[in-house]
Amino acid sequence: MHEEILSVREIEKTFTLSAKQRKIEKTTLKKKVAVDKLSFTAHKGEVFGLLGPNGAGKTTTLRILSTLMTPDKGDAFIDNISVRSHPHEIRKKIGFLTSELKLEDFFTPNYLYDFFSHLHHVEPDIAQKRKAELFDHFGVSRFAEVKVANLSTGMKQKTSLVVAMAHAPDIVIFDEPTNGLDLLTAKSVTDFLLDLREQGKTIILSTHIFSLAEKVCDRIGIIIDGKMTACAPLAELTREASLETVFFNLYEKTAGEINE
Amino acid sequence: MNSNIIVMIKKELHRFFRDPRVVLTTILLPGLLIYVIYTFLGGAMSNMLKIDETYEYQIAVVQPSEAFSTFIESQSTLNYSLETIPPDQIESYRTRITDEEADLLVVFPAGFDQDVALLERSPVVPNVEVYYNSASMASGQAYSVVLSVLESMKTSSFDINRGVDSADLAPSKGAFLQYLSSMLPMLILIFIFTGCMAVATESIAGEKERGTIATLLVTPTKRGEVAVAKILSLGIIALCSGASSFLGLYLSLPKMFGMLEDESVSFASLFGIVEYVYLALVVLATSLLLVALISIISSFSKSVKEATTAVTPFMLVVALVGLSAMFTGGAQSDVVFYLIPLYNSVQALAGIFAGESSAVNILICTVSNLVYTMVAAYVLARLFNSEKVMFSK
Ligand SMILES: Nc1ncnc2c1ncn2[C@@H]1O[C@H](COP(=O)(O)OP(=O)(O)O)[C@@H](O)[C@H]1O
Ligand SMILES: [Mg+2]
Repeated sequence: MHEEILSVREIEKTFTLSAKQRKIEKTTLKKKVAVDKLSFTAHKGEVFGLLGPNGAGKTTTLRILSTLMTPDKGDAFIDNISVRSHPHEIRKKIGFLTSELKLEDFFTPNYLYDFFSHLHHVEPDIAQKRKAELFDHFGVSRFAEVKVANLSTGMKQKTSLVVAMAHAPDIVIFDEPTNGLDLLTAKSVTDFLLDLREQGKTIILSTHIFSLAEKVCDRIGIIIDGKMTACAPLAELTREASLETVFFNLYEKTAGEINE
Repeated sequence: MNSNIIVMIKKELHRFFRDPRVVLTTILLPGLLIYVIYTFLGGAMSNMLKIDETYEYQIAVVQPSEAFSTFIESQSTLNYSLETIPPDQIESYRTRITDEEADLLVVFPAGFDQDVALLERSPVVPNVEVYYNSASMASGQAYSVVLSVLESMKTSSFDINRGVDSADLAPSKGAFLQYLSSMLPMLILIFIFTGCMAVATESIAGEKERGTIATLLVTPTKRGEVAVAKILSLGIIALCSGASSFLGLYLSLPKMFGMLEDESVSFASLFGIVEYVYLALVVLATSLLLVALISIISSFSKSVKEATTAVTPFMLVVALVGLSAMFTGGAQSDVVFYLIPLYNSVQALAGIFAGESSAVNILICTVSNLVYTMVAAYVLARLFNSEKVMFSK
């Protein structure tokens, strides 16, 4: 097996809910345990999928991995570097993407790529070479000088992907890659993920879409109500039943436990 | 400077200056609006200042000449009340003219009529003194009428205001300066504020609202760098906006004070190089501080709309602090006042416009505001690092 590149150890995160949020989520509880002693590991070059329903704690987990949030307890390590104590080092290593993560409308893909390259301190000639390759590969070249505001949703998403790769991160963290995308764009994003895997990158993604998980993931962690209920290679998980069946069995079991 | 900061400032400025709509509303419009409003106001004011037709001019004469009394009765332009006062009241009457309680004082020498009649035999040419106040429309008017009356008497020979240094009893630059000194600090503060409010809320809360700030926060850029870059770029924009407002003001004030235009006092003559340097220092430091404070308030908001609502009460506070210059009458001299943020800017500006600023106070004001800005930048960096603030639901 490949070497371990990511190790998540018993992370916990509890939010205090605002009155407005309690109303939306139809709860009277003031605290919400979003992530509950969650542990998992990912190996170099694999695609690890966090699968779970809305509100399961996927986004929170990925935000902790990408240093946007700090866990209340526990820690996670990327290349043996702690997200808690060395967030700055972590940020150099990862690329973080979400479907709701938008680029500024006013700029062109070209400008944004250079901007983020610079913030990552990529050598100028390497940056230009890499930009040409990425732009060509994903068909962004033709739109390099068009403002993001005037790009199609698909092209915007591709631009986000390309820009997030400006520093050639070894680990790509991707929250709900195909959420809110039309069929064609979703397809190109999925292809992109497979492409990254080809290149030997490690990908941590979250999704609630079974087909996506089945198509791109090597290993899957099923997360329900902040807890890891199953974590195994896709092939192992789906040996006896489809991923969907496995998930709903687990879900009913967990829901049953909560009701008791 | 750190290259990350430079790149981020460039990006903010690029975005700002390449957007014609924003440039129009933030930079061109404030100056233009102020110019139009003030020019219009100036016009309206000088109309208001036309002297009422029924106005009764208050004129006093010392040892009146008979010829003068006859002449002035015969002219019909002035509706006046003429009183004769003894020579020992000259001083107090001059004060009344300065205070705009009376309009004109004409002082004839003792035995004027005889001297004029006997002039061929006397070596002394009689001299008539006429005192007026150029800051008062009525006084100026009375002065020119009486002058023409005296000229028409000049078939006999005498002088007018020979050896009199200051026939004009106007309180010199005082009134104009006082007005400038009390109004401008508030105006300038509000111009800077409105100039940077739209851009700062957009740049901080807007980025949060659209989720673009998270993109920045996952790059290995220090939060402090992000905060400093935001404050500096927004400060530059606020300065441009402030400069535009100032230019509008600069061009329209002389019009507003149209009646003063041909006097020695013009807006430009109040200012030397030193005053401009002081002004630039204070405005620069104040812009940076205001931008930093608005940014902090904006960072707590989830959307531009929310940020604008949150910043508005702060604007009222700033306007009130700005107004304080109108009540204190002139600038404070105590150093302590120049350590209080915002209030120090108002006092410093008031001092500059009154022509009584001290280098020490200006320096303390500038430096303390820069220190406050650095503290604010630190706070902003902490906020950028706070998930509660950046990712609240
Ligand atoms: N910033 C936050 N403040 C308060 N509650 C939050 C915050 N982020 C997430 N939550 C809550 O934590 C739970 C998990 O959310 P999330 O991680 O977004 O789930 P998922 O991405 O799996 O849908 C939800 O109940 C959500 O409302
Ligand atoms: Mg989510």
